[in-house]
Amino acid sequence: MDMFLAAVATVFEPANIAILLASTAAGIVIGAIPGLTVTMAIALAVPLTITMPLTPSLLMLLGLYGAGIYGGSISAVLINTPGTPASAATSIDGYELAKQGKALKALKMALIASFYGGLFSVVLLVVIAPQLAAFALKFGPAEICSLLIFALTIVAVLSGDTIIKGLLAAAIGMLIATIGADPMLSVPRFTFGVYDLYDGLAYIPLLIGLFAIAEMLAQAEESFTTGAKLIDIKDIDKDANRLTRDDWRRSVVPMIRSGFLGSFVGMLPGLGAAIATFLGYAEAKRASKEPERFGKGAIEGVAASESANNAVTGSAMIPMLALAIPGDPPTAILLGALLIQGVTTGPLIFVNHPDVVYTVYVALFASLAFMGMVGWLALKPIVQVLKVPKVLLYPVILAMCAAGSYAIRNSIFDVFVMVGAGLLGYALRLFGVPVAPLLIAFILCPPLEESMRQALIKSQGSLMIFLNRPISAFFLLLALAAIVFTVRRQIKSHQALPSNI
Amino acid sequence: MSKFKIALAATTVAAALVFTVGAQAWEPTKPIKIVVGFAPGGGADLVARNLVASSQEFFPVPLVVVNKAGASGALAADFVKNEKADGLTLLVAGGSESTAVPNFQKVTYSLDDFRGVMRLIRQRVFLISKAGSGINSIADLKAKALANPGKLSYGSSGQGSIYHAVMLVTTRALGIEMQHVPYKGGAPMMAALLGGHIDITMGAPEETSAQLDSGQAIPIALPSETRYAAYKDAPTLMELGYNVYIENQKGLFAPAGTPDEVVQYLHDNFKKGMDSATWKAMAGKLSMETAYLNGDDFMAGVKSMSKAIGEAAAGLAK
Amino acid sequence: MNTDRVFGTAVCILALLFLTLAIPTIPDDWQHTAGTYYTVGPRMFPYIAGTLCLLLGLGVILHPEGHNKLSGLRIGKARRGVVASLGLTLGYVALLEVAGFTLSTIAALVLFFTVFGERRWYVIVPMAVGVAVITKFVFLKFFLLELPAGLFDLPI
Repeated sequence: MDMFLAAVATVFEPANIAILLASTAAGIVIGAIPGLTVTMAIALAVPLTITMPLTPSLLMLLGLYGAGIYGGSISAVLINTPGTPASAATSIDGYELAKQGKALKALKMALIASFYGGLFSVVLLVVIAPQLAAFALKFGPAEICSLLIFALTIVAVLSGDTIIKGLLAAAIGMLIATIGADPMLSVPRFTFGVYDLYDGLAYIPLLIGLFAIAEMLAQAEESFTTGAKLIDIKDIDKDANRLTRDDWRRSVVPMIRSGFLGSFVGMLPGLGAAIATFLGYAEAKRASKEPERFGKGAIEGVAASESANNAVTGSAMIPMLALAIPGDPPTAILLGALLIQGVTTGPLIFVNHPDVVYTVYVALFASLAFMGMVGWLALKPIVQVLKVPKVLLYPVILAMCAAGSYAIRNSIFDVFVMVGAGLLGYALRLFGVPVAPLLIAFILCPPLEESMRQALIKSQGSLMIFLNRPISAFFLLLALAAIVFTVRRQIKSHQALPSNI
Repeated sequence: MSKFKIALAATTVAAALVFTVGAQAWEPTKPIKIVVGFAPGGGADLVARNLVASSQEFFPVPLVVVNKAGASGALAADFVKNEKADGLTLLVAGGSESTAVPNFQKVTYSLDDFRGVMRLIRQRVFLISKAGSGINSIADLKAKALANPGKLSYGSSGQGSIYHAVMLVTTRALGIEMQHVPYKGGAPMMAALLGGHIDITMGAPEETSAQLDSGQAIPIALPSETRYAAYKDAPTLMELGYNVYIENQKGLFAPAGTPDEVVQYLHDNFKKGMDSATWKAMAGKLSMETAYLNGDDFMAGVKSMSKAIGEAAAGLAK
Repeated sequence: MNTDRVFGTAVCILALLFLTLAIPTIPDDWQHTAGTYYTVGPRMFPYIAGTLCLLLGLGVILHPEGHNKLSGLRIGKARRGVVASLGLTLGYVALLEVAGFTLSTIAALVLFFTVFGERRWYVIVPMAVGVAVITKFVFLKFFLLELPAGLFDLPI
């Protein structure tokens, strides 16, 4: 208890609070700018922490982490471009809400859900970190592979009315994902000797191309409706932007479920927030009594995806603290930063450095609280972006996207990838093919291929490894159930509505 | 200062040039780019940023770290090879991209496209097993692998990575067969080891100390010529009679054809940075094992390691 | 003609080209360097992805779902808008490494603004210069990331 109070006292020193405030604000801004990612922000902040004491450096990195993941939802809602991959599912309903003049409402819900997701996973971390970490270790290649096969079934959910085109988009995503050195033997695939392609198409340029550049091209059809605002509403309508009792009723259960899902995905190594957010969104739609609301501005869609991605932030720290094995790239960098401070995580940390553990806990809670506060205060100013005329806004977004794509690897090649992805995204949109399934397949396939082939090395080619292991078999059954469920729903809706082609 | 120069003259043959041509023969007039083939925050990146922080005061121009991550460092090596040999673009080299990758893949560069400027640090590689797995030594590993041929597996950070190379050379020396399971980096490998999904993994001491110190994992041997201070109980493979010497090193390469006086200038001023208190403090915090070598010795070491790996890879192809 | 059928046919042709021409470029001598325990090679996933594309392309031909948004492009002005944006974007990206980030961004923004009807120079110039310089500065100073300097090597 004394150590806990001591940790609270250090965290709330004025200098430390100032650092937390600054890093939270910076995190929100970085998260909101397409092309600048949380991982990059944390990586670049690490050298700054070398000369700092433990508490401020922890506050700085944790502030950036949580706020950055939330910040991604802002641009997802306002300009249909997820600021970080983790918010890709948020834009599906968030942007629809913005078009209806309810951007503020969507952002409020995104903030609340992010706060809840973060809080839930931090509580999990505090209460049962060691037990959960031991469970996470049971996930070997076969288990991860089956989990990812289950995750792939959400493609059908994301496809909406155009199920064949949705599946086609996923197949295209899978095809694009095979570009680059193969994950097991590093055999180059479709690289044609170009080194920039060895690690595959870079993820951020692809994402901002598919969303931001494609959106810009679509807006150009109307010549940015010369002078028109992004969303043509006279003023931000206060009443429409209040969170009503009905909104809460719809959102609470998906939010809680996403908290669980996000925490679960977060503690498994190598999956990350983008998979969590799609899974949370798809599960909300699958469980909903009115799935037809999704994709047309369902507030519960925003709640589900944002709760899931912030739930990753706390739970990714479970294996990091308890086993010194990070759950996602940002926590891998955090682990390195702790090492610089002379703190070695792992089972011994609870014995050797309980003070550090308490500082991490308090810092996590404090950074969440600040994310809530700074985020809430920033809501109204941020929405003013909508008042900038489109003709000015989109070219500026283009310049920032180009800068972000370039800066990740100092590569002009990636900027061309961004433009190419923009063309692809725009063309698919013209033919009515949804882009979200392409993105989720692109994210899921590399770890799927890796874990499947790792498992097949272990079993020397026998597929029984996926059925013999109980956790793996469980996820395969879930996947089967999801497919049966989708097919039945598809048949039902066709009976109800004779297809009108 | 004079003491420093004497020490330098003793270690560096080319130092004679400095005195005849004059130390001020060449000075950079534009920023010097230090290209890192890995992402910000990684080991190679931290070495570069530490070097910049401690050496900046000795240079009249800014030192800039440029991250060109990709293809296990080959992307950056290819980039630097094609830059002008004017001493303004340097590569952080000595790891996988220099010793291992060219033996497994077709690459557009070779070690002859570069010349060494200096070595900065070395990073040992440990063979690590899970506590309670019954593999506590190389002898245990050999016995168990011979009893279950091809059933034991090891993780590496990718086909053609330095870790893969270590196990290729080691299994060949031991006369055993093991399965190779590539992972994406050290963390998933350690998770797989602790979860019992693989039998052996590898890691640098500064990255695996959490698991080693808590007794979850055991360092069973290392392919270096001397033991490592913090884990004195782990024997070197050479002691055990297996002639295996592979480790990670990080140093600076310049494109081949960079004039001697330019390399000399860079070497001397970065050496001042390495001798500074800033470098020592940061290297201590990051558990970097500072290991200076001059450019020619560094390049010779890298070349001999690359040759050993090449022979093991050729053995695999048969 | 139904646009979905055109689209589906295009997908099928591309998928066939991928399966027959692109996949064989993946080296298949991996067995020689990989040891004896590999059963699945680097060509498996590309084959699965290509086959799925082919089948689903056929699916689109046989069962068109509609929902396309081509109608917007029937208007000449809309087509010109898209082509102009695309041209400007490509020109901008191509110019980046030649003229450097700051200069090309200023040029691209000024062109974008004027082509699409913004005429107030007191909006155009400060906005273009401000965005370019601030972005370059923030990336360099706060994120320690260099944006393209260009051949002229300007300090900004």
